[in-house]
Amino acid sequence: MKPETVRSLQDEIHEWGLINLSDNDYDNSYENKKLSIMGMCEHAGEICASELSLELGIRGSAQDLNAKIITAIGCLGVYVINYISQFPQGLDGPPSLGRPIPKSDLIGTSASYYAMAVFRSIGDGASDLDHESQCWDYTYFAYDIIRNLNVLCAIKNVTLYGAIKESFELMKRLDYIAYPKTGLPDDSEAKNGQ
Amino acid sequence: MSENRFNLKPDNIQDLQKTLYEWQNYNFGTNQDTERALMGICEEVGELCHAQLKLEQGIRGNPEELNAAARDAVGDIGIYMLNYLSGLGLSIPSIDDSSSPDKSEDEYEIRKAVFTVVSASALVVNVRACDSIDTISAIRRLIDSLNRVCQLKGWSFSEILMETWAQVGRRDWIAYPKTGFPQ
Repeated sequence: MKPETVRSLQDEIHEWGLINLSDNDYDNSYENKKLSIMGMCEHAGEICASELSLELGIRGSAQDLNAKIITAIGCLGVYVINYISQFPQGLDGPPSLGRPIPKSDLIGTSASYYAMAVFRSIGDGASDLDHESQCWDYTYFAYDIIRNLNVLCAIKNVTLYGAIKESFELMKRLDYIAYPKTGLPDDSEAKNGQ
Repeated sequence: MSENRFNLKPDNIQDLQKTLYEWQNYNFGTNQDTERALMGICEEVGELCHAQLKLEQGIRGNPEELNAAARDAVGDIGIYMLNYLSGLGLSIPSIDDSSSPDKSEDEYEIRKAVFTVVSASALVVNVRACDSIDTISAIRRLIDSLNRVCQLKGWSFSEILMETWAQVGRRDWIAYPKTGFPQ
């Protein structure tokens, strides 16, 4: 993965995030960071939900559940990159995005362990932000998330860059102003709009 | 599964924990990994965040639907929390939600309370990885944070737990693996 490719994706996500993920009612970036972390938590929850269902053999086929996990990884990745982009030092990272993990390094690893690790990292960030710690590198936990997502992707046989790019393509199509229910045109909303 | 197999109206939270554990063992076997309960907590905390974010953004549903989703998530977090404790052989600490509701529409306050649920649940998950922190004290923090969300929404956490169990207890994942209910 060429660094400029990752940088270009980050720039695009940052630009999109400024419009779509920031709450313009708050000039306070503290509240915007909270919103970002809650968004990450939402998608980490989706990863855990599908991973748990996979383990229990319920709520859908393995193929469907793995597809949901990869989409959720991608969406979470978009939030993380957008979050990192709020910090000047974050724009050149994360360096490990897209770096392949050798199969031999995955022996004995479990997807559920890394799904929980993602949640733990988000919780670390939430806990520190919750305590309004001022002397804090608010990006460290985001890089932890990226590292854990990278392993999850390797287990699922996809690249993190690919998962993020694919989810971002979907997210870009959403227009919640025009279609508040789903973000996408559908019959019922088109009728309402007429 | 007969609908009367499990007591859907336990007398108190301690009875609920016991009955829920029996239900869990019936549906998913007695050799359950407590990590699964923790994953369930993560899942539901994510749903609580989803509902709160969408409420604030005014998308993906009306306030009634999204508040119902938030209420469901709070109940499900409680159910997974009880399963987690049972798996560890621990009893749930007392839940004191008797203080009067502090209902509020203040977006900041509710967001702050939901955010505290995120950090408190992560602490519960971290206890798993770090023995030096007391599990019960982490659970108490999670209960307190859920109580705070309920207070602001004008709900009672213990009532929600009982309501959630009345739904969960009807599910039979052995007979109906897709939804837990007959299609």
